[in-house]
This record gives sequence, C-alpha cells and structure tokens, in this order.
Amino acid sequence: MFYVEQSLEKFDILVMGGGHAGLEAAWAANQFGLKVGIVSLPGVGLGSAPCNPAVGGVGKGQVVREIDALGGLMGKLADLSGIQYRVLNESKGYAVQSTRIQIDKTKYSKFAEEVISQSSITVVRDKINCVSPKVGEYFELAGDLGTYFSKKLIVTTGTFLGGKLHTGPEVSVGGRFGKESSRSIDDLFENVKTLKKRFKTGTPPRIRRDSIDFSKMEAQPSDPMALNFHWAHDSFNRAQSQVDCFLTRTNESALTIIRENKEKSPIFNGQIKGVGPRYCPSIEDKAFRYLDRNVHHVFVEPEGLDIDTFYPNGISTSLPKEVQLEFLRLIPGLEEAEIAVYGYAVEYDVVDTLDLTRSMEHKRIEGLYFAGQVCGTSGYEEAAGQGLISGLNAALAVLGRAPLVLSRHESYIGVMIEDLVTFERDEPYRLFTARSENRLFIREDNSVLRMSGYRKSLDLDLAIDRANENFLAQFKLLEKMCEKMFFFPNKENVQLFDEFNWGGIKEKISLVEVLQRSNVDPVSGLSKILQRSGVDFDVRVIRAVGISLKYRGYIIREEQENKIQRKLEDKRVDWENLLKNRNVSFECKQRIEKIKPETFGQLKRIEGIRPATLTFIASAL
Amino acid sequence: MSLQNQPGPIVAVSTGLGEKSALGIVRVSGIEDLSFLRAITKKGDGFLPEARKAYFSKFSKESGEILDEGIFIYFKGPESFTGENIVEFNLHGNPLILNNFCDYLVEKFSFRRAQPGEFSYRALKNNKLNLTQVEGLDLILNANSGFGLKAGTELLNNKLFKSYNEVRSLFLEIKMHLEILIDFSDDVGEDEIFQKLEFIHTKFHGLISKLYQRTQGNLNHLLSPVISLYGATNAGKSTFFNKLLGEDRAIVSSVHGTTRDSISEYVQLFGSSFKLIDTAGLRDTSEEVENLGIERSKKINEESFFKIFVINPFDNLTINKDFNFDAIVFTHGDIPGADKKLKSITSKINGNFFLSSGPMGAEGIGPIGASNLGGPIEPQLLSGPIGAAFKYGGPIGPENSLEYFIFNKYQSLTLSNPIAISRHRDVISDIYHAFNEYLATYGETRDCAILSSFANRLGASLDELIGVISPQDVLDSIFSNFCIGK
Repeated sequence: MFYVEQSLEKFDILVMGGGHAGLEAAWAANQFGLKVGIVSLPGVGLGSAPCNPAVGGVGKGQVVREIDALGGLMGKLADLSGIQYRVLNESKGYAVQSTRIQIDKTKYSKFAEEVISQSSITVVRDKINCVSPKVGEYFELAGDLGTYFSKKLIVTTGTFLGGKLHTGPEVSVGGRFGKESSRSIDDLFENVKTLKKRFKTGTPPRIRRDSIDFSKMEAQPSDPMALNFHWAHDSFNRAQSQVDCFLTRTNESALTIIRENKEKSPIFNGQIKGVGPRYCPSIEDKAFRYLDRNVHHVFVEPEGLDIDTFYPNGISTSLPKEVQLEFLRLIPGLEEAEIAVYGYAVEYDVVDTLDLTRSMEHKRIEGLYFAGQVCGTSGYEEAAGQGLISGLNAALAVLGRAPLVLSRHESYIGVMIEDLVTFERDEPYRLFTARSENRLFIREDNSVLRMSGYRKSLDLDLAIDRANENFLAQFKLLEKMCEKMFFFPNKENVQLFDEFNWGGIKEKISLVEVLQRSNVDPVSGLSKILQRSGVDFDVRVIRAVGISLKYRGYIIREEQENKIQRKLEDKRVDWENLLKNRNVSFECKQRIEKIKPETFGQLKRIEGIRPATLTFIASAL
Repeated sequence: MSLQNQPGPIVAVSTGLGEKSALGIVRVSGIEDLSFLRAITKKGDGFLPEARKAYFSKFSKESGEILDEGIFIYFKGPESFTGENIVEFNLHGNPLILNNFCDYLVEKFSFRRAQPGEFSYRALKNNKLNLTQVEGLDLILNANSGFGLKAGTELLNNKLFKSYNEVRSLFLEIKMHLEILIDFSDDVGEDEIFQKLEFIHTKFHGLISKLYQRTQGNLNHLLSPVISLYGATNAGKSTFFNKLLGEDRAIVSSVHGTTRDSISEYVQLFGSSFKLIDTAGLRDTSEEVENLGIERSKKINEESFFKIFVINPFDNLTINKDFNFDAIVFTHGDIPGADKKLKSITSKINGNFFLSSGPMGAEGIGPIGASNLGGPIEPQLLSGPIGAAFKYGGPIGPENSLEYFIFNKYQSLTLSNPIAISRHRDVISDIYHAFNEYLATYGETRDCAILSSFANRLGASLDELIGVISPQDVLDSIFSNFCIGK
C-alpha cells in the first residue's frame, strides 16, 4: 500500500470510498493486474462498521458466501474478526438458513487495512471536491491535496454524499458520527440524477460496557457449529475468542417516555425529510406506529473484544440526548446505562439506480460506476456485493472484455442488482429471501456451485479458482457415490436404519432416497454413513451434497414451473411501440419509458403497471 | 389477431341485424374531434353537443343525400363505455339503412369497422372494465339461459371479482406469514405466526372449497340446457316434440325413420329458455345418412341436460338397468291394452314415467296412476312419479307436470350458484388443487422454503384469476401489518 500525498498519478480504476463496497471493488479489480486506487476521506478507516457490528444474516449470509466464492474479501475479514456466530432459521429448512457473525469492529477494519496494504492497491487519503467529465480517456478528480486521473471511476461513498446528521434539535453536516461529509452528488458530477427523496438511516446510542447489568438479560452464546465464511479457513476454527450477545426487551414505561416526546423527534416533527426503511424502523417509529405494543426485542451486541461499548440493536433513535438516556434507563439491565455515543439519524443523497446497467455502470456516462449505500441500499453485505460486481466490470471494461452479469436465478447478488436497476424505489433496499423466485436453489451451502462458473469466466488462475475447482470435483464425486449407494433389506441394514433413525427398510433403497425422506436430516445422515464407511469428505462438501439431494425433487419441480412462467417472462416486448399505443394509460407509459423493459418479466415487475395493462399486453404476446 | 396496435375511430352496428326492427343503433368510438358529426348533421362549425344529451337530427351525406334521421347522443371520454369519446346514433332498424350509415362513415371519415368485441376490448384497456367484467358482458350478450344472464350480471357488477379478491388477500396473508418466518424470524414469535397461519389456512380452505363447489357440474347444462328426445323410430318422438312446442315443426308420419336428423327448437319454461332436440330414431338401418343421424342422436343425448326416452308400449322394448334417462314418456296410451303393457314394463324399473294419450291431438300427457290406467286419460300435461301416482291415483296437479319436472332439475343445478366462465372454473380448480397440495406439504414439513415454494405455485394460479402478486406486495403487506426490524 502506498499512501500518496500529492499526485498526478494515472489510474486504470479509482474507487471513491473505502467502505465495504469500495474494498470489494478495488480488491476485485486489482486481480487483473491493473493500476487500482482507493480515495478515502482522511481519518475514516477502511471497512469500518458504523452501524451494527455484524456480517451476514438471512439472505445476507448467502451474499457473503457468494462474494467469497467469487474471490471477494468480506467473508475472510468477518471470520478473522468474528466474536460470536449464529445460524439463523435453523429450524426452518436448509434453504433459508443463514450464518451471521458478530464482528470486532476495530479488528475488522485493521484486517481490511492489512489486506489492502499487502496488495498493490494504492490508497489515497484526500477529499475530492470535483470530478470533471472525461476528456479523452480519463476522469479528472480534484481533491484538497492533489489531482487524480482514472479511466474508470467507481463511486462507493455510502452516506457521505450530502450527509446530514440529526440528534434531537442538533443538526450537523457529516457522513457519520464524528466524520465530515463529502460534497453532494450534484456538486461532484454533472448529469448524474439523484432520487428526489433523500434516504435516511439511523443508529442507536452506544452504551458503556461496565454500566450494563448483563444478569438481567438473556445470554446468547456463540454457536460452535456455525461454519466460517471463507473457503481457505477451517470450517469451525475461530480466529478470535468467542463472547455472548444479550437479549432484553422494551416495556411500557420506556415507550411512554418516547411517546411523550413525539414533538422532539426529528422524524416526526418534520426536521428529517428523508425516507427511512420500513424494515428497520427507529424506536420512535415502533412506539408511534404500534401503540398497542410495548415489548420489542433489544439485542445487546458487543462492538468488539477490547471495545468499551455495546450496540443495542433495535432501538435506533434520533431523539434529543436527554430523552435517549431517560428511556434507555427504563429497559431491564440498562438501569444504570451510560451512553458513550448518542444515537443519530443520517440523511443522504441517493443515485437513481434506474440509470445504471447490470454491471453497475452509469448508462449515460461511460466508465462511471456506483455501488453500495450511495445506490440506496442498506447493509454491509449488499454494499459489498455491488462493490464486487462494479470492480470486476470496471476491470473487464478496461481490458475490453464483455461484462459479467449474475443471473437472478442463481444468486442473491443477481436478484439485488436486477431489482436495483428495474424497480423504482422510495425506501432503502435490503435483500430479503422473499425477493428471490428461486430460494430453494440459492442457498449458502451451494454458493461455490452457483458462483464457480462466473468466477471461471474471469479467466484468472488464482488460489480461489483452484479451490473452487477442487470443491466442484469433490461435490461431483460424493454426489455420484450417493447415487450409486444402495441398501438391501437385510438384517444389518434394518439395524443400521434403526440406529440412524432412518425409518424402515422393506426393499432396496438408494442413499439418495433415504436422504430425501422427510424424517431424515440430509447433512447428519450423510455424515454418519460416510463415517461408518470410513470415507472422508470436507464438511462443506457433505453439506452441499446432502442438502442438494434433499431438495433435488423440489428444485426440479420448481424449475419446471418457473420455466413455464418464464416463457411468458422472457417474451420480448416492444416498449417503444407501447409508448405510441394510445390505450396505454399515461402513468403506465411514463413508467415504461423510464425503465425501458425488454421482456414481459421486466415489464411485470415495474411497480405501478396496472394489471389490466399487463393482461392485454400478455394476451397480445 | 392483435387489436392493440390498431387505434383510431371504430364504428359498428350495435343492435342485431337479423330482422327488421323499429330501431337500430350505430356506435362510434375513439373520435378525437366531432367534425364528422357536424358534417353529417349539417350543424354549424361551432356546434358542440352537450355530453349525454339526446339530439334529434337528419343525417346526410356531403352530396345532400339523406342517410336517415334519428337521435344521437354524445358520451365524452373517459365517462363512456370504452373510456373514449363515443357517439351513438339511434336510427331506423332496417339493416340496409344501418349498413349504409356505417359504410359512409368508413368511406368518408376513414373510420374502421370494429372487430367483434373491440368495444369491450377498449373498455378493458382503458380500465373501464376488468377482465372478469368483460367476461360477464360476453355472458350477458350471449346468454341462452336465465342463469347465464344472471351470472353475467353478477360478473358485470363485480360481485364474483370481490370474492376472488378475498381469496387473493387471504393468499397474501399466507405468503406474508411464511415470509415473516423466514426473513424476520428475530422480530416476531414463531409459535404466534404458525398459529395465525393455521387459522388462515382454515379460512382459505373454506373459501376456496366454496368456490370450487361452484365450479362443479356441467357448464353447458347451465348455459344452454338441452332437452333431448330419444327412442326407437316411430315411437312418437316428433309428435311429442310438436306437442311440447305447440306447433307443427317436425314432420310427422307413420313411416319409420321420418326424422333422419335432429331438429331443434327453443322452448320457454317458467321464464328460462331450453333447447329441445328431436333426435333421429334408434333403428338398425343400412341407410348411411340415417346411421349418421343415429350416431349424432346418441351424442346429443349424452350431452343433454334432460333426457327423455319416448316409448311405444307396443314395441315390446326391453329396458335394461343402465337406464339413464330423466323421464320416460309412453305414447299410445289410448290404444286398448296399453295399461297391461305399461304395468309389465314399469314394474321392472324405477324412474319417472309419463303417459301421453294416443295420437296427442288436443289431449296430452297424463300421469300414470291407478285411475288413469283404468279410465280415460286427463286431457292435460300431467305427470308424476309412478309410485306416487299409483298410490294417490288420479291427476296430481301442475307441480307434477313434465315441464315443472324439467324446470325443477334445472333449478337444482343453479342452486349452488355455479360459476359460469370456464376460464374461471379451470383456474379455481387449479387453485383448489394447489392449495390442497400445499396443505399436505404443511402436514409433512416445517421447511419454510419448501412451503413457500408450494405457496408460490398457488400464487401463480391466483395470478391468472386476478392479476399479479409481486414479492413487493408481500413485503408491503408485512411492513404494514407487523412491527418488523431491530
């Protein structure tokens, strides 16, 4: 890593922002041997986690594993700094199980800096004041300290563009607590359209460790059986010592305080104009929208092993400081709580992602890419996924190669990016598994299977590529073994089935059929029989094979149904012709013109297209 | 055919052209300005008709030749049937006048003759009607039965659509709870959600089962009910046919095989219209034409809603147990010895027997009862189940007439309020089966991804009934109903 103070250096790819999107973008692009740099505001650490200290979660865990199988960084950093592991949805089926790791924020950022410094990526600490349109091959970026040139520019500025912080009546300009913000998007770029509505997000107050009475809370220990994210790590070895998270709950008296101070809340008194996510409401939102509910979960999460503060997940707020302290101290275990950093809300500019292509490039400005929260998404994982795709595509573009687009049928990253570039949105976007049509297939366990083809198409021969190939080979081998393994109804097998709790055996049955039985857990079932047979496979391969076999019938069935539906979905529509059609309503035309749908499926997913419009367009296809 | 790329004014005669009638209506839709109206009415340049007001005028060509005179009414879009500007002309009903009028508009103003259904199509496109309503309109316009008319009106009034929407919102609730279990498991208690889910399952099951029941039964029987006459040649079917119609429609003669092919007419019974088909008689015959007719008779009989077997008791027919008729009519009841023949036939099988007296002039069909068999047959259309008739004897009254018997059967078909659009029947049946499959899976597993996959299939069928439910709809529903988020 080279820190550049004053520079006229020319880059192939420059990434503005060193957060989760920026890291992945730079890392991905750098694999191609190009000249890659990160410009980051002075004083902001790389890969910092200003919101909740966790990586993964439902749907997000799948994204982290996709990133990992594509050669990204996030999984590795999360493992290295992980201090509490959990498998979510454990009882609800393997397809929707996800890993979540609480991270040590300081360590995460430290490992990020370390990894980048060991690479050939240049890090520039500067504040960019102006980006000039391309003259010839290069964008020109003017900063406080220097001028920089780059063929491709990836903007991953998070909440920093036009950022504004609110804590009660106190309003300051900044991207997050204690950090200044960047210029607004309009100031920086000509021709880049932002959404009319600004978005808003918030954080809870941080509480000092020794002021918390943990004995009044439920402890949630780390799950030793959760698998690490990174392919090169052992599945279960933890890099850090493991600690507990804690659960407490709000109550009527705490919420009464909030309800009594409604006029002091920037969200409700009109001070904040930005739109917050409905899935991540502030405690004010919860208090006012659900008047009959007073009990809400509060997850009290450590921010790090040596960090003095805890993050009370579930009570993000922008109320005045004294109100924050007052209601907090009414929550069990927090009676003596001392606040280290008060909660705040941040409003920020968002790029209109309908102007982006599926490779995250701006449709009208060649070479300009956007990724992460600046695209109006929430979550580190979402940001990292977009960063990775924008970085890969910027590099492929420099090399004159075809872009890489992930299908929504094979990945959550693909679902997210297609949603971003085709849906009009009026709130921050978060991945939910419900957004995917192919949930039985897009799982954590088979991420390598799903991603290795994409990775291979990059034509890079690095350690990850060989690891992916090895995984695939092992997968195929074990899958074949399962298909060829049969049990005959003899005495030994009756005993075996009994011992393994596999049910009865009346006639010849294949191992695949056994694993598909509704009462058989495919992972432990497969592990047990392999162990019995003295065959050794990596636990990740066993999981992938067992779960794939379990779902095989369902997936084939779903695939057939999707195919029928996709037949119509994939039909081309002539959107220009639709605009001329006098019988398409004006509003529908406006939306069609904006999105320019090429297929019926895209048309169907445009929000606000009337069912009647769809019906007649479909009938004419 | 693709209608959607053919905009512009369309014109059509909106009333029937079959017979001359006093009035006929020509309708024009999709006109941007009213210059054509000013031209044919010879009104001045500044004339602008008030919407929804009737004007009397002469209508003439540019040359001065009169097309007709009558009333016109202007409907300004979007407050019109199609949502576009419409002018309706009430002209004299002579088809020549009406066609001339349309031809002139087509030639002179480049209007286009509307394709069948194009007015409704435009109404659909402009959201004046939803698809279900268009289907209802179609039913009303083409209804042959009282039921069809009623069902069509119900569709047009959106009543059925509302019950579909109930199904839709329940489905959305199912989907919502499944997605909460997966995506927001930290926020809402699992037991609470499963409990609610099961409650919704019960509701959904009740609703879809009711709708499914309404799809059972033969749709043709409801929409164009057929009464067929079946029997050996010369049993007297045609005579009976004429009797029911009250006119000499079928050729009657004593030569076997007079009716070589089916003859049909509509009869009105208690305000509903039924198609009465007189089929070719059953007879082993080497004549090819007649054979074809007989084959067709069998087919008609199979598909008809009310099957009448006509028997001459002197034909010495044996009736086997596969008797599949709604009624048997015995003819030639006045011929001496008929009573004995009847007793021997009717004692072998059960069913509804009716007796027609002799050559069926003014007399008619009477019930078979002790008194009838002994004495003269009542000169009215009376009938009754044989047991009852025997027991009580004598004429039983109009509630046992054959006509009433037919109508009763028809009414029993409509009692369950059947759904009259076959597309809906198919989709509802799909939904019903998909839901049962989903429920069976729910009984086996709590794997929410699998359950949700089965629910999605249910959703795909629902899409066909009432339009698309997107993942965003589900999420919106979650956010507005639950406190989600940490």
